[in-house]
Amino acid sequence: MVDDSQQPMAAFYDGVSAREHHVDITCEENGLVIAGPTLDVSVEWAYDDIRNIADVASQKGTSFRVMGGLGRLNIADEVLANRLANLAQNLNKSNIPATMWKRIGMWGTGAVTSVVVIVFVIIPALANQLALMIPVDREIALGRVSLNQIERLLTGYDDDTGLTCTGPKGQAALDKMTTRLAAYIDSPYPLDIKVFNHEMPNAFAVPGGHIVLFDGLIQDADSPEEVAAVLGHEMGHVINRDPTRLTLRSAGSVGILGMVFGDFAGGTVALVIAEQLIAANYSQDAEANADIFAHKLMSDTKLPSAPMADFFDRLNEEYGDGPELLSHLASHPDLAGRAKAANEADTIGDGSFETVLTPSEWEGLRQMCAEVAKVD
Amino acid sequence: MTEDIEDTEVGTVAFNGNTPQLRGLAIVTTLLTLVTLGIYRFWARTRLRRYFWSAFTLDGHGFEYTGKGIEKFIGFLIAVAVLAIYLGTFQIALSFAGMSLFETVDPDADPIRGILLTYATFFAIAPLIFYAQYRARRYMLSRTKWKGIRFGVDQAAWGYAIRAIGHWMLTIATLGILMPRQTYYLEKYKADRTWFGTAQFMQEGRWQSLYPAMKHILMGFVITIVGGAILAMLSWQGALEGDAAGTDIAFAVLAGFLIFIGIMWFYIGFAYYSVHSHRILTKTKKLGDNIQFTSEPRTGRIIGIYLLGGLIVSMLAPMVAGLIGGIIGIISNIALSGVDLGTDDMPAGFVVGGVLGYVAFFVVAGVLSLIFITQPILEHYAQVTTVHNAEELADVKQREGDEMIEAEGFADALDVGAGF
Repeated sequence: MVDDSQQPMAAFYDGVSAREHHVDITCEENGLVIAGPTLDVSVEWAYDDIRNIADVASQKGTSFRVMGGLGRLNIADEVLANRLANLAQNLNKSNIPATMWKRIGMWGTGAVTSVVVIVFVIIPALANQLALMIPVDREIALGRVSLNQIERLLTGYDDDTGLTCTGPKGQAALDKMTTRLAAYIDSPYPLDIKVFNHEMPNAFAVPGGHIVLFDGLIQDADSPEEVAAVLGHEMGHVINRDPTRLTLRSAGSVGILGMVFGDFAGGTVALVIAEQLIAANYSQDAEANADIFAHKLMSDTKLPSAPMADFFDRLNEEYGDGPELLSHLASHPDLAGRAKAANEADTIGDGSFETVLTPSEWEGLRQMCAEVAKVD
Repeated sequence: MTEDIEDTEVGTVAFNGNTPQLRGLAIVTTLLTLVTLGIYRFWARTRLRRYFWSAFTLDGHGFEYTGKGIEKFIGFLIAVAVLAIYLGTFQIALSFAGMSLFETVDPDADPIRGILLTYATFFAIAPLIFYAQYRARRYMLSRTKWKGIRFGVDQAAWGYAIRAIGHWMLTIATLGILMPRQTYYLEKYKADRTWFGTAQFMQEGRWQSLYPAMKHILMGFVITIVGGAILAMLSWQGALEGDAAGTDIAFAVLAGFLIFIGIMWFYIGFAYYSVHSHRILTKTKKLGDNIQFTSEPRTGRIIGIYLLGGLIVSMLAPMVAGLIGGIIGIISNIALSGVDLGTDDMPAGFVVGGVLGYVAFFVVAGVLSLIFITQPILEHYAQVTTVHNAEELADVKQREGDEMIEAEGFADALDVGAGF
């Protein structure tokens, strides 16, 4: 037991000079009194204002500070330190002054505004402008590089033969379809259209006028007009320079996101997710515009756009529910809405039209990949 | 460990690490950082600094870090608000330049454009980095106390940034020959503006005295050049005679070996330079009128710690992470049986296990490198450092605080923080 008259030794740094004072501690009713031969006046610390100094590596004794003061007290005696811990109730309380909260509010708003403005306004606007300024031959070369990368990714890097289908009848049919559609568009680059031997019902465009249709899409389609509509959609991406804009935009926002998330464990994961969400938001516009472009193209070429609606409806049925939709939703949202828009844009209706391919040409396109083994 | 403080010689620096405490602190702060999507990293860094600072003692009196996580957080918000637009624009301009300039059809145009691009990058981002580094140091020292007395650094970040760029350009232009000059003057700029309480640090000596520290860089360079010369001679000879004789192969192997050794020597030479320039600069530093320092870390020990620590981290982290991921995978596979996450080929539980294992890898690697690299390095520096005339430190008086509401936000945002 320790009674109040006992005064064990402690080390005190007054926060004024770099001198250690050997002091005596007295525990009074409201606070402790620090006094010693080298101190001119004794110092009083109210119990409520005393704080622990946390996360300290093994040191002799326990260290304390006082709110609003510079002094430090190191108590070597464990009994006294424990006793102080009982008397001082707020040892681990952190007092955040109101000004701090105000600053967090102010600068937090500033930081969020700044990031939102740059990511959703400035970077897209810059990307749109800069995409037009990249030399066309560079864009074509860049597109070829990324096309090769995608092809190798899809084959799993274990196949040198590539995925491009070469059936001559199919190629002729594809050329015919392309020629008919391309007559109405003004592309800055020559259109390079390929069919990949892959079962996914998909199509994409990379910078520089390269468009790829997957065999899975052709097999899924009920008529050549459905394929033509998808091709028109991809041509829309090409004319709008969407792949180049998207590349530039993502380069800009990855820099910002890297700054926001830092390099903590798993920071990369958070960065990738955030970038995907932003990309999805941005590409919704691009998809909608490519759809509108396709509607117009179909109408210009005297083709119906209703088959595009059929295609979206079928995609919706096949992939419309279940978690797989989540990933699909991200970049190609609202299939039902897009189908509706395609139906509304149809200018042929029940009228007759010159089909984009003859039945035998259509068969040729469907068999274009037959001679190469399927990758699944 | 600290029992006989009274008996130790005046001016003794020690490091009293406590590995179990560090382990606990590292695990808790890393996990909190993870679940808060990185926001806690400012508090995590602060808590680790409090630990490391307090482990250092001079004459038995511990150092104290008084920084607050919330200060760092606010500083970061300020930096993001200010830098986001600049950095975003810069990044996009850079990738535009990359896309439209490189690998053009005309290859002759490339080198000059490439150099211009590199310089543009340097001038756009380097001043900010040096500025941020100076301010980070100012923040850190203003939050460092010994015996209740603050350290402090004068406000001179832009002056530092301009000088740093000037010295770097000079060093690059002279192919590294003026590197000691750069090291010395930048260190002097920082040291002369650093205070402990009312006592000012002063960098004395001269920059030429750093040249001996460069000897192993030079050595590595010479060996590489000799290897390269042999190789060049062989190919010249081969071109003359048309075919390679058996002795040439032996020479080629020798040349390759020399180049390899030379490059390794070169890298180790840089470690040697950094350690020995620190020794020389510390010896010629002064605090107040008479307080001086020696700090003699050993290159071999430092490299040894990095190699051993790196080995432990790269062996243990995947093992522990794999174990955690595997166990969680099996457990959640049983718990989630029947749940379809839409991952056709893989049971849902293994997906969960894989993701958690991946995260665990970073957590474990971070914790292990604190324990097996950071702490031993600091301990070594403490063991080899002594303060002379330390009794005069008792005359030092307190200095004004340095509020610095931007804290070290710029360094955090640009990720150029000072190690930890």
